[in-house]
Amino acid sequence: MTGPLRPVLAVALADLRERSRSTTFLVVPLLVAYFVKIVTVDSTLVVGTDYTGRPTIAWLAGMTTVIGTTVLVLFGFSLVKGSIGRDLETGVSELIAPSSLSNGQYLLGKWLSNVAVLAFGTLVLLASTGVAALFVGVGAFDPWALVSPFLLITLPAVAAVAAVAVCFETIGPLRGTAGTVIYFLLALTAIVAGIAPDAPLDLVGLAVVRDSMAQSIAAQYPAFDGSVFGFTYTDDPGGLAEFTWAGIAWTGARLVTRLPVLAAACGFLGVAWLAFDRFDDATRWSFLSRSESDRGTADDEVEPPTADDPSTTADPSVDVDLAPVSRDGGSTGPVLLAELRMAVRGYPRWWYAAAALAVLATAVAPIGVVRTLVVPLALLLPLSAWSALGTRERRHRTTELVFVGSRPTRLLGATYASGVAIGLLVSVPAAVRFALSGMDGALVGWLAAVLSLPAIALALGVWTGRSKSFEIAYLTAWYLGPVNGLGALDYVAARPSTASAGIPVVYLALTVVALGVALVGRRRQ
Amino acid sequence: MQFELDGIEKRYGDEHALRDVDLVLEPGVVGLLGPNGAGKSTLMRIVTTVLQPTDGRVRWNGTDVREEPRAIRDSVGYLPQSFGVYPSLTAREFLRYLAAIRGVSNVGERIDDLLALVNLEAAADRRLGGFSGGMRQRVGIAQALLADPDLLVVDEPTVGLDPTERVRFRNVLAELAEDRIVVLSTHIVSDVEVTASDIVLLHDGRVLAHESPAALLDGVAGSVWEWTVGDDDLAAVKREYTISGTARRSDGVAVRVVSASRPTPAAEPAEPTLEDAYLDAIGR
Repeated sequence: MTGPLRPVLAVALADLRERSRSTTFLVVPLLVAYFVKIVTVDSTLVVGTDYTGRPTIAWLAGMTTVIGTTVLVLFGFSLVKGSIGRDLETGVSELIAPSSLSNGQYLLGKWLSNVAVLAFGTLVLLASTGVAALFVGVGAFDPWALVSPFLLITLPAVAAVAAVAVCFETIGPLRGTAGTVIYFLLALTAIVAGIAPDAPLDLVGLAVVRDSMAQSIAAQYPAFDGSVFGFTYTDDPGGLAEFTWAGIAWTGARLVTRLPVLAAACGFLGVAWLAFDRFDDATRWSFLSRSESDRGTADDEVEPPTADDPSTTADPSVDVDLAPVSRDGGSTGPVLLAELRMAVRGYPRWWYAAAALAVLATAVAPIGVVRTLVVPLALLLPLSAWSALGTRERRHRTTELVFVGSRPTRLLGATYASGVAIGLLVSVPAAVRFALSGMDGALVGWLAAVLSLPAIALALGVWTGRSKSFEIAYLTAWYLGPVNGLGALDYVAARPSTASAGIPVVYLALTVVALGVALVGRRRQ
Repeated sequence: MQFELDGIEKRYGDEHALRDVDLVLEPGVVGLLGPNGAGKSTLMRIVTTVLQPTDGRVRWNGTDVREEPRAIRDSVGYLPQSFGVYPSLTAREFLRYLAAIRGVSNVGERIDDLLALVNLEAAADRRLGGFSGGMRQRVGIAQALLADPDLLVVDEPTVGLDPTERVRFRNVLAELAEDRIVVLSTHIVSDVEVTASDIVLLHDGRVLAHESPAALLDGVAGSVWEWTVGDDDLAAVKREYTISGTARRSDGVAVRVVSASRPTPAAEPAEPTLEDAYLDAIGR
């Protein structure tokens, strides 16, 4: 192939090859297949409050599409982001920047690679649905009914996710953990907003599937009032009325509902093209992220070396006379101090402002609001510091400096303590107020969160070497637990019922387990 | 003080990175030479316990390092070929941090001395994120000497250093080696030539030679030749002989070759260098 598309495909292919040789590519199909089994075989989708579909291929494909697309939209970003960052970290950017490859070609290549990864996930989703259909027994097999929802709902959605991932990577302040948090909140907002009737953006296809099903129910059950807001799941389908759904009739009007999703993808790619300055973003975003590079989320060398490098005046003659040291095991203090410095330094300015605001809010907001809202929000601020625990050595390539001759248990202990300290830093007034108000449940919940979250982060960091795993797990737990009241994930006991159910004790026990797992992992390193 | 490798083998799947490596190292600079992929970095990583050998024994002063890794970890200083730093820490903070995790105390004065030794006194309290590649390399050199190691392992230590710093660091190594073992791996043969008391030649994972520089030079005495050829003949000479150097002259190209016999009546014997000995050993 010749012409302008050839470099685009070369970028995409190289990126895809790099990704395909990581363990993620092995894990994703297994997770997707398990997910499909849960959705299609182990539980029953309830439409409205009283109905469920007869098991046809259209029904299985429809419900897997809606739930699967939601999962891909929420977590696909974390799966694919980091492709441009990897070029920075590995120095490939130095080869790309002076090449004839245009910015548009480079970004399109990265986007295509992201799309390919997510399309691979979609393909596994589709294939697993086909296999599930064999297990469930769906009667006549209609290939279009199986393929069309993935093709017309999932693929446009993942194209948009892929574009956001490229876009966020071209904007310095969004390249790191802040970008993950902002994306997660944006995606949630878009999904929830898409549920409303006549919403302009139906990102995950929930409205188009729901409305089609509602039409089928209305045709088969005249008593049906037409009101279907969303879907739920049940393990006991006994009392539900079954309807037959033949799948979405892809009329022109329904196809048009996909256009805003594709337009969003194009919009984000356009923003990426405007924002991308060919790896020379040392100054453009400095008002927001002067020290972003200090946390290693961007390139470590964006700050130009200062001119007073004294090597030019060095005298080659040398007299090596070094003061003696004591090899007496040393103390933990300097390690802890350095870990704390790394935990609190290098954030963009807005982070320090938000941390100050969090401390103020935990001190002065009404105590009930502090428990249900302020503390869960404040404990999002250490996400970047926590997700770096156990991954820093790999991220900054200090493994051989740090581990040769070191005491792994001391280092691990100090790393964990620094994580706890930063959690304390942003929320400790809340603990004082809980104690003074006699809110024992809230106090124990807060303590469990501050102790368990860095421990879990450390264990995940040590074993995976990446910060993404904790970021995804924590944001999911935050949304389902403290925000939506799912008791098992309410790690901070934002609701009194969680505390009385003993969930904080479970998290305290989890702290011990996670620290043990981290210690085993560290010793292996 | 003695470091001993006995029958060391390292495999990655079916690939042998090292085979049958037997070495006994004593105080002095041991230069590790070999082409890319010879196994130098693997050997250094085994010496520093970063890697475990697939087979063989590693002993430090008689103690089996595989059974008792702490025995050597307390005594080793290591400068890897490629390493990073924590950009949000200053040079001084980074060195203090590394000293603490290695169980070394009373390091304040030593860190001052080390920063002076590597010419980073003026930059000691600046964050590492703003350091140039050469400055980071000097921080790496300083950290390798933090714990007053008895065994110092340095992998390509002069990469990124300017010529003055390179000479200075060579002198540092030579002085340090008076009472400790220094293992120096490099592609820059001249660095080894002026500092090493022993040289280990590695090729394809095997030790080709472990000798003093003088012994290696003796091995090629009478086998190094120089003469001038025309441009048209240069290609044929390159095909036929191991060339250790060329220089353009007004009457053609002066070539320097390693050959057991006189290549041509016009060739004159030349004084061998370590580079000649290295090329001869690798090309054999």
